[in-house]
Amino acid sequence: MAKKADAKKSKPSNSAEQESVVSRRNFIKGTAIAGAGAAALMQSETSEAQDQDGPGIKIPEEIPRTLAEAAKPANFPMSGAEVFAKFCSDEGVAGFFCCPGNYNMINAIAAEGIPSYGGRCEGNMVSAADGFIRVTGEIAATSGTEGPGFTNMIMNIGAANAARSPLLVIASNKTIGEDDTEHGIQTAYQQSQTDGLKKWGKRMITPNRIYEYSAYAFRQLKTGVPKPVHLDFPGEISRARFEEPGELQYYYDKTRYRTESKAYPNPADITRAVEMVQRASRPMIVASTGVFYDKAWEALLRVAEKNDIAVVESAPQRGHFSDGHALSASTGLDAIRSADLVILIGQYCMPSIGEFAFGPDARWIRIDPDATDIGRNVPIDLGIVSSEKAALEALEDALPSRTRQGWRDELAAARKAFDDQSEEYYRLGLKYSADTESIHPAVMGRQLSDFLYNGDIDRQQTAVVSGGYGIGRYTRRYLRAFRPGQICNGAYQYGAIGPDVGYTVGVGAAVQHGIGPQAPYKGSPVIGITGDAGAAYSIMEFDTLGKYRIPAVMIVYNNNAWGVWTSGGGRGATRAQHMYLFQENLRYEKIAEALGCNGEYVTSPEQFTPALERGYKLAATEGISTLINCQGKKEFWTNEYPPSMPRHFAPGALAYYK
Amino acid sequence: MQETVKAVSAELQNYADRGIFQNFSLAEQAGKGSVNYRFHWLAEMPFNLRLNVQKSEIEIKDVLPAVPFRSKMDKEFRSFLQQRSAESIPSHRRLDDQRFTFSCKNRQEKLSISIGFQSGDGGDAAKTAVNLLHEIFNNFLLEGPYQNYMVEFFNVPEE
Repeated sequence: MAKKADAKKSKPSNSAEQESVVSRRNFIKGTAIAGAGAAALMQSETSEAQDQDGPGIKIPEEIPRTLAEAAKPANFPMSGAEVFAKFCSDEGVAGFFCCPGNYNMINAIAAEGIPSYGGRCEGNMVSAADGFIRVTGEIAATSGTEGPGFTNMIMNIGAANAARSPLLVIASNKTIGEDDTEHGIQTAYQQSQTDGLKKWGKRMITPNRIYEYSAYAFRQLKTGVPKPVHLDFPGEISRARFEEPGELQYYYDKTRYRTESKAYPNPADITRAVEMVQRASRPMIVASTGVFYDKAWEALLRVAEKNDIAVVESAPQRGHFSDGHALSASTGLDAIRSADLVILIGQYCMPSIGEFAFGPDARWIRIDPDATDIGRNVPIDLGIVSSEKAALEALEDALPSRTRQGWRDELAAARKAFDDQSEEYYRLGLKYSADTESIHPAVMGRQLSDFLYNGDIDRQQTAVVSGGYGIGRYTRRYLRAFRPGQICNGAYQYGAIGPDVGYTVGVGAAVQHGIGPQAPYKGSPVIGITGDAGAAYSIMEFDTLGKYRIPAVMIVYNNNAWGVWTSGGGRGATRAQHMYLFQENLRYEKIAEALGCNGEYVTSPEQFTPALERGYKLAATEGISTLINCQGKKEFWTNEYPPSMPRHFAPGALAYYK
Repeated sequence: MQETVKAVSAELQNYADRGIFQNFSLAEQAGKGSVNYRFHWLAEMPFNLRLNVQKSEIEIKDVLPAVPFRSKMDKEFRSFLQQRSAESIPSHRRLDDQRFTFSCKNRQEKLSISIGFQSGDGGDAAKTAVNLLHEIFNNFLLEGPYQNYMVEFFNVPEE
């Protein structure tokens, strides 16, 4: 059966008949549903193909049934878990991603009606929540059980922390009464393990302070520079019973325990900033994380256009300034080197001098809500403490209108040079692919770009998780962001390569529910990109994609090795080489198939776009995800195939870590 | 003579004062008519600039190690240097080959660049040297196939 399916996939499919065959093939047929919403899941049937081999993969009837159940918000009398869940709902927590454990809490959160997802590994569910946040700007929560579940979450919490995601981490934690005894299982102190990986955390101790500490948590999540907040709940807290509000301390509305007020810039600082902008010939704004979370993209556009200030993006998400705009420098990399005034806005993860490509004569303004961070790493010529949106609105008011035609021309020339270079890489990629009977990543990137932005699909529609290690160095070159939250920059500063399928679950869930900037594209398929090394960490989440019918196409670049494989034998460490390599030609797409999704295997440039078309259509029409396993060569990272492993360039479209 | 030293030193000191260089020191070599400048910026290893007052020349010493003479990298670097004066380069970043002379030497597989200047142009020559260093690290080494080279010889992270 498998061989038969492979033969079909090895040929490009353009006809409706072939597409029809693909969409019903194997056991996938059995789980086809109408619509992409998780709540629209229907009882599945078993496929004929599976009947031949044994019981078919199917979505149990409990899943669609329980997803379709109406929310049952709690009211007094309530458990501690219900008090907290209600609090999260009142604060607008937009998504929840977990693995079972912390039972009282996850049950209460689902009952409140917060869109909830259960996956296969706690770490990946943290990344799902992180990805959800990065493309919506809204708070999401994640949960794991005490001990092993919690420690599984650590890498992914680290990644969310580096990305400054307002992530609410909750975990159960045995009982206070059993502290230090090692009675039973899964004893672990949690808060010390997230030191350095969070903004704030607390182990709940006193049951009637649960509401008070929830307020602490959301004050941290909703003000200033965001980062994860970690609460751990011993059993005495989540199981506590509260008959009426008077039993809870500090029980009052959110307008009393936190403020929506934001810092406004000092007018004298704005005057000085305007003077600096007016003195500059080639000013450039670095629009980063804070611009997105402060929803300041419209103000940013107005400021840029009023004074012809270039804008380059730098953040764990992209799209708050369109790559299609004439003032965009995100793909005009050479112009970045020319800027004589750099205005960092909401750059929470700060580069050091030299990490961004700005020249030594550029002057620096930094606008940030946190005064304590201004001046770190990059010496400033002017620091402005302000919310990003308020500062941009003040600049818009104070700046005169101005046209800088020379600067616009240089930006256009830089973008063209970048596009020309990308075309050159594509041509090289085609040659290398033909020479090696495989597919080069430049070919994948270029074909993906054509499919997403130059075909029948609205170029603003598809959200992309731009992940992977080596593959990311090419695909970033061809990906574009035309609206806020269109690209989730996978690795970012923490550099974790494993969470990409997790991010895809979260980004897919965000689009599935149409949260925040994803609203106009509700239900559209999302694209994920990763490598073979990265895929292994989170590939089991294809079960999660499958069971919730999150429509996704995951592109896996398979070069049979860790991306850093040249660090072994390539440097003469031949005795170590085996540790950098995998078995060759592994069939990751079959894992997706075995998890109830679709698989495609691509070994040449001619097969990639048709596989993408089939996968996208299947996702759009039936909510079924696809993994496209693209067989490359590890040798593409060597100088035998220039440009081999392109180096990082930041800020802008190629930016990887900042 | 002292004017040139003053002008070059002041220009470089300005980068240090602005925090562009992480540190900065200079050492005059009495009787030799030269000043050695040393600063950290862009790389783990310090950069060394040598001002030869007699020859009106600033040398960026040993800027790229482990580059065999006439190797592909050696040739590409010389070509890059030459192209920096081309019309296609934006004027604010173009090397002014009417005002300065640029030459590249490979000694013991280490590439050095010399910038010759006219009297009174020492300060701008220093500024040119610093900007050229930036182009070498943020353009030549970034755009070219030098990931493995940078890991091996400049200790940049593997990732």
